[in-house]
Amino acid sequence: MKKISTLLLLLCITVTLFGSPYSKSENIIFTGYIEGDIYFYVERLPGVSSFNLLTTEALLPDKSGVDIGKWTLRVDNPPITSPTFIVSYSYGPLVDPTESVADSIEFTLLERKADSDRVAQRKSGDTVTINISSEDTLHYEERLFAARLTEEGYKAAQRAAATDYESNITITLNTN
Amino acid sequence: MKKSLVILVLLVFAVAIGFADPVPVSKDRNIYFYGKIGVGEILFGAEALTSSTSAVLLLSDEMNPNGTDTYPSDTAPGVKIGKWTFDGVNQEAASYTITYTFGNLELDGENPLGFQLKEDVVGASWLDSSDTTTYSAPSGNPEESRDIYARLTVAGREAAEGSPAGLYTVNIGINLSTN
Repeated sequence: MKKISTLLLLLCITVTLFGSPYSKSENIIFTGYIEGDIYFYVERLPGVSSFNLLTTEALLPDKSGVDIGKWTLRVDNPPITSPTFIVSYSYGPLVDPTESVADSIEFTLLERKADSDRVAQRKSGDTVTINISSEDTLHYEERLFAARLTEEGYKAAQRAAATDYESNITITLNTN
Repeated sequence: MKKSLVILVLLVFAVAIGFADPVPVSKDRNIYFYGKIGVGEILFGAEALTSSTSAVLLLSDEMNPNGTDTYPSDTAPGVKIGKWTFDGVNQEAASYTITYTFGNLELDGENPLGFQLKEDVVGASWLDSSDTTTYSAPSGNPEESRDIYARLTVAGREAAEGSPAGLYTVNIGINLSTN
């Protein structure tokens, strides 16, 4: 009877665990900070883009205007002296930024607190006085502002050239 | 006489066979040579880029989800806060799920500020807690590293504007698992 021997040679680098699930978790610490002192910020409201100056009803001179932005003032640890802040508005009429068209369309800003219906008109050059107590705590003020056409601006829009218009609105914070 | 003749013939045959050319024999036999490479290690790690001495300014333009004149139309990129790395050795191709788990940024356990995360890969979206991304690792020795960015949510931004100054922290869990 012949003996047949079979040679079997195995070469392994590591023991395998084919098909086993893998899972591992890591953690990182995210650290952020909010500055103390005085913080003043002006920003456009989310989703605000260009408005049709002829068909947007809220832009009419006797309407509530379209909300376009807000400013925020927060004062941490206010100074003992001069806790009065002056917020001033500066802007011109809507014009063609490329200066290809000479038309200009006047508008005005309407300012209010977020939780109030009381609206104050802010023409270019107008100011708002914010009094902050010297109490050592966080003081926070926020105002929303909307835009609407003036009577002259509405008339100008009716005969203005078809193009894009813009106005750069500057809101400045000063201490008294 | 006859007996002698038979024996003689048989002897002749035996001698003939003995001196005849051998008939070639061909037979196939097989053996198998087995080799194996086992699955190597996977190194998965995460590290933060921020600390109490290098914290992110939460009210910066980059962190503002509402968009600013610097980053219009909600394109604020966020701020890089960390990264994870994957380093595999002798791997089969596999698909992995990365799960992010986190709460709010808080100041000593109060004043919660919501935020989102995003991996620095093409087409990535901002992620909320428990959201997942995927990584398809090729076979061989795959390597992958992804930076992680953070940005406040709209509500988190609004809350931050009215929150006290200080250091806000949160622990972010990152889990890598096979599908």
